[in-house]
Amino acid sequence: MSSRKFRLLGLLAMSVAVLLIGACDGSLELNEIHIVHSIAIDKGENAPIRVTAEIAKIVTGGQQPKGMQSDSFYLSHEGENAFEAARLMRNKSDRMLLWGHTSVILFSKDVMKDGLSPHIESIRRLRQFRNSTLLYMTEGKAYERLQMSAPNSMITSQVLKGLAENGKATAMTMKVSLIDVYRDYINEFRDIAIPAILQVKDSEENKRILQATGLYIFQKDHLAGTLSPGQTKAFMRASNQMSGSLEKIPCGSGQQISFENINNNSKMHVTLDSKRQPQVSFDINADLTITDMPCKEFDITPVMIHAWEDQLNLKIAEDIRKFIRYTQKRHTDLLGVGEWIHRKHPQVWKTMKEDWPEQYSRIQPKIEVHTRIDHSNFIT
Amino acid sequence: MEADEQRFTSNMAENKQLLSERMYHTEDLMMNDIEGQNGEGQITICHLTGLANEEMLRQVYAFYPDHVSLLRTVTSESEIRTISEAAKELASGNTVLLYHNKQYGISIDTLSVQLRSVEEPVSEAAVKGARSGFTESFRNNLALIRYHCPSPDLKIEFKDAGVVTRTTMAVISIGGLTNPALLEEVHRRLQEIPVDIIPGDNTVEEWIVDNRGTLLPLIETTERPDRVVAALLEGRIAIIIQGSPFALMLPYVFLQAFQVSEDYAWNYYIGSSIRFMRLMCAFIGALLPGFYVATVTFHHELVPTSLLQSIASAREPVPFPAVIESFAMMIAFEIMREAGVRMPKQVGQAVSIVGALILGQAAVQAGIVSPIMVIVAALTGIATFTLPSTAINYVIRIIQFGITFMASVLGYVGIVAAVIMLMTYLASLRSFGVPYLSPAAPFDFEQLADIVIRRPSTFNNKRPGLFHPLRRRRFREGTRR
Repeated sequence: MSSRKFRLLGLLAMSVAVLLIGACDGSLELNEIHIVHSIAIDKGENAPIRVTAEIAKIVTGGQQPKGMQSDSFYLSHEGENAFEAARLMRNKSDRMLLWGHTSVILFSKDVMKDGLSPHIESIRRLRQFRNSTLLYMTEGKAYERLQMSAPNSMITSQVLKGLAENGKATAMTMKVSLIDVYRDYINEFRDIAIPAILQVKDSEENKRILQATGLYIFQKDHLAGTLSPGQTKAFMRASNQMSGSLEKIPCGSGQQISFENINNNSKMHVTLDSKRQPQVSFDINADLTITDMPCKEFDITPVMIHAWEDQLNLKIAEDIRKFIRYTQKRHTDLLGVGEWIHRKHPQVWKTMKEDWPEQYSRIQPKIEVHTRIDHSNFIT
Repeated sequence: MEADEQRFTSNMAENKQLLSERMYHTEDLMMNDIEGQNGEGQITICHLTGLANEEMLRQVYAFYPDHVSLLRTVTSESEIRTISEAAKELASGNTVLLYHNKQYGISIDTLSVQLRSVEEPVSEAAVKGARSGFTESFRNNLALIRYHCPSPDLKIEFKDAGVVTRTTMAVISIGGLTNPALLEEVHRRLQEIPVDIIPGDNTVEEWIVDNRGTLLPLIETTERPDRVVAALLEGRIAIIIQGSPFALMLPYVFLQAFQVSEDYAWNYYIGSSIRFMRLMCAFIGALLPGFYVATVTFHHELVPTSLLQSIASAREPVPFPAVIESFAMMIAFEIMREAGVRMPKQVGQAVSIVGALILGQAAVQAGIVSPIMVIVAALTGIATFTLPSTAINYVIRIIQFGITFMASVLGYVGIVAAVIMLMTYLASLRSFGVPYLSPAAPFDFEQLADIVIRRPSTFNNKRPGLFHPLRRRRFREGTRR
């Protein structure tokens, strides 16, 4: 055999040896892992942090895999930080825990009172978590919320993912992912809001279920308060994140006309006046349709429609004004007014940066709302 | 002088003895003496039993010598002067007439072998388009090509190969279009084939390719005369071999493996989408098992959660690593495929059904493989069957084992490394001097456009430059398109 062939064979043998010795590191068969679907972060009893993981049971047998309809079980562990607690949790698990499919992280309000940044930084450092992982906060014990049963889902992460979508229809909650929070936290574009999860009693079955309404708001790192569902809707409308909602105005005799908001467009304008004081104005356009008209004493005429549009304009402007007033009291710039000044007038921003929460609280916003009632949903 | 080169003498007994010796006293050699008339003298009629057409032989015996001139007008004949020439003619099924008192004979083409008639090609079936395929009849195959290309420019050159068999081959080209340098190179390589026997087209292919050690086909084979004509009109060369129902077409580039003549029988949108789908199927065939193994062992995060949950549930009872499961299924599929091909047609169908349905189902229920792996193996196998080139089909099925191995040790990195190595290797190959990956590498957008998709015929103004034809333009100047 020629020396060239020897060299080639040697190279081949070395390549195979290197592949066999050096490779395969990091490989894990699926029946060696548990898939973590969601986690809850609470204050621990014996350590600062308690991490609870929701893990789907792998159900075998039968021809059709159950997929996300499998039952789940929970593992908890405490530690100095989220990483330590998660790593030590492995001691309780018969298999390696796969964190990469965690779709929801639920924080308790108590743990967030100590500040947002340690948790967000800790989770971001754990590279397993996806950017799209949804964040929620809840009053009380987060791990208890995670273990609540849902009407049609065995895995709570699926419930929480589904609840996040409700914001599109009701504007009472919103979808906030890990990267959203991290981006705003690092860039300081605006203050952070995290949707709230409540435990409510279901009226029909007298059973406790999860509900997503309202937001927890932060002033930089500190928990500053909560937005009610109405304030949440005003925030989403003002920040142009709303796609649908329900609006009501009185129509006499204690009854109300209901409208479905089918389209919303909001533009925020920030200017500096002659004294270099920030002025904020909102130009809001909304399309609505009538969904319920219980007041029989009125006919739906063009004149009435204009009158209702005027009422809606006033109501929506007032809702936004209330929301802004609340955030001013909490010194929370959720709309990113400061960042707007920073970008357009960087020199001015340097002078007002330190005093920005105070400056923000003095702003008197101008709000112009132009609603249009598109359809009465009646053929006349 | 050796017996092979020995000329006929005027002594007929000696001639017969030499011919018989040359053919090792084969007992099917018939040598019958007939008394001629009209001064033609005595002749010996020699033929091999079974090869010669009986009716024609009867005519020869009955009418000779009065009507031998008539026979000459209706059959091809050639004058032969040596023992070896006579032996070759006899072996080819011809009848040799040896004239006593003359030092030569003539050969009359009386070959008659029962061959199948022209049928639809088995390996290149088409829903639409021409349905005639080559047969084992050399003459018929040439006639089919002439029929599909009734042009005076069609040029056929005969060449013998095989030291013992002296198999006839036809080198076919288009005069004034095919590059003469290419034609000369083909002749040179054919001339150098040193083997005793040419059992089929693949022997010729193996001797004349640029790289004899490669797994990939560097010469295209086809059963379809319309494909041969299409190739000739691109400036390529076809070789028909006696006894083979396949034609060789060269040069050949890798991306042509995804072209089917039927693409041009459909609207170009349909043709393009089918051709593009075939390309996708090649990727699926080569990469899907590797992709599956890499995903379920290294990259769990890339799968949607609900799908991962389903795969995990399905794999839970399987005791083997994904790579073993994958290799087992791929090998099982190959066994079933090979059994399906080799078994008689009716049994073959049963094997396929038993293999696919019963064995697969039983393997899943026994917890040996997961249902997902059955889907992966089946999809991979079916995807490779969409490829029109059987040779490329086999190649892709071999490559998938290598890629799956690389995926099992390095994950997606292994797949990427394997594909890079494969592409580098493909780029290093040549087919009669034409880069095997062209027109992708070297890149030529104009030609690539008609390979990845099926361009409207009205846009194909130019012939592919890959094969260096003497005339690039297909249409006359000023043709409306």
